[in-house]
Amino acid sequence: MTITTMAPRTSVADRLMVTLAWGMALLWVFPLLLVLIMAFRDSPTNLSPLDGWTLDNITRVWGAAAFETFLRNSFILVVGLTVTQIVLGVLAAYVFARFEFPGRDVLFFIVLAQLVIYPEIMLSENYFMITRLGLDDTLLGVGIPYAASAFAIFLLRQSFKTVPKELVEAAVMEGMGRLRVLWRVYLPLCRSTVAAFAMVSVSFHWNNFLWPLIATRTNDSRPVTVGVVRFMAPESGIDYASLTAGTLIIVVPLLIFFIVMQRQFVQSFMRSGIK
Amino acid sequence: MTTTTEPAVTTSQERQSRNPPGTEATKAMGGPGAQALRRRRRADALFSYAALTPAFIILLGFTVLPFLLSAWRSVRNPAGEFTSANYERMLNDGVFHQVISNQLVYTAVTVPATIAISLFLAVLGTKVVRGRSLARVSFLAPAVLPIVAAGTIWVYFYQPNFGVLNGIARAIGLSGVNWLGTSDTALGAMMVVAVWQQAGLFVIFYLAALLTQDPQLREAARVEGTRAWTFFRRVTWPLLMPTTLFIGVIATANSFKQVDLVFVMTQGGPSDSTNLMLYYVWQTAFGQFRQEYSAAITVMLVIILLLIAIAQIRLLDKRIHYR
Repeated sequence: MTITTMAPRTSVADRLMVTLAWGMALLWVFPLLLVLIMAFRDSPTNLSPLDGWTLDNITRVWGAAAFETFLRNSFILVVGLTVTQIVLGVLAAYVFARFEFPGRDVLFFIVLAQLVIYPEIMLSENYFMITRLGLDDTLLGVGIPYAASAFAIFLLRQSFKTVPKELVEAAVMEGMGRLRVLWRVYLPLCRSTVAAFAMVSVSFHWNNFLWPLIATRTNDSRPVTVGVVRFMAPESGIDYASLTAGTLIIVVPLLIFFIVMQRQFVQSFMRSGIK
Repeated sequence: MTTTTEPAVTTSQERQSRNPPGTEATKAMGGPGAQALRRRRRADALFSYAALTPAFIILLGFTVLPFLLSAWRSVRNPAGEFTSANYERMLNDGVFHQVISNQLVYTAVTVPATIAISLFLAVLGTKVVRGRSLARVSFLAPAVLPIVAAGTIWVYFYQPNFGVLNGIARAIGLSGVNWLGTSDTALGAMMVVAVWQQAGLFVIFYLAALLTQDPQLREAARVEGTRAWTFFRRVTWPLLMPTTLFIGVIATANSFKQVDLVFVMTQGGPSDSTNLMLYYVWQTAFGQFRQEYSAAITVMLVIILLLIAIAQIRLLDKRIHYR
């Protein structure tokens, strides 16, 4: 989407704003840049850009922890959760947006309340809960408390409410059932909200830390954020070369995902009615 | 027997009877149109409950049920007798008082600051024409960094001896500060990181709202010679209200579950000056193994969150007309 196609009548104030914008952009990206650079430096005090570049940090960290397992776990967790949240969220949002049924408002209020009461607030009880279900120290146990997202239900309902009634009625006239109307009318019109939610969810669960830390005991079920924490153990002093190399390994998959999706990202937010 | 009104069926009954309705409805009085309508309504309701069931099993099972279990645990002692000792302990627990006060300061500062800075970044972001993708991705950078990693990198910035911040301070002739090691500055230093991190996520919401703003509004204002600031205050800001409230709700909730930053930056110290509610819940449950007391604190946390949520949803309803 083009923003400014007006005559380039840039005032001093505008130019100042642009400069400030780049300044802030640098400030915001700086820690990430630092990670990307430090991960390849042999010493944090050597500031020469010509020498001191190395791949040792990466290979050492990669060898020191089960990153293949961690990354695989994170990947399965994030994909599985996002898909489940979307499926459950779409179904719930659809009936909240389209049908009237006894108790609807009460049920929707419960969803709204869950916008603020996340599963991680119930740390201990949820830990006991997954233990009781025999899911402690499994990927399923890490994921299951998040399988339904109130945020997804809320966003999708807002979006589904904008679907014109005439379209729905026309589809019903053609004899489409409830699920078919959802699949053929609602979902195609609200694809960008689904995409926007998916991206927020992917970023959140890829980076989630405390709950996976509590819910897992062995490397077999740990996602990558928990795996990298061993490089942050403050008692032994932080080893920044290893930390940044470990962070790089976490960030790169997500970064690629975001850069590829960047245009899609802003556009889906623009179209999704999250505004 | 005839049914003149919709029978008041309870949720659980509806959920159990999955067989298609109709046998009774056909016997009901009323024209064929009314009958069909009634039948469809019942089928709609049944479909709705079926569609909501999976989501509600998870939502209730991992938030409402744990909450009830927490509340139950918090009023019993290890011997299984009812007691109010855990709540009485809160009254005399100095650390808990400190934690509440930290939490209130943290929320009261980070939420408005996050809103202001994300909006500021988004406005700046719309001004950039050349290289705007790069600028926007830069703003989003904190969203791709895990909070634990971002926190550790900021620890490095704040480091008293070789940290970046004190390096700058010394260069301009100021004496360095042990940012995270001093009670007076530690919470502030952590809040800066929290705002930086959150603004990186929320800027996208404001950016989307600003970019979809009707360009005719701006054009009209330009023709009338409205000053940029007046236009922002009178037109843009009110139009952004739904976004602002939405971000406000999410940011408030996030502020109450902030624990990753505490975990990697300060572990609650020095002398509990950065200890926040959820971290204290974690500490009492998994550090000190005082599950009953931890449960009582969880109950308090949920009550506070619910009160805030109700207030915010009221505000939301009043300001935004979701049909």
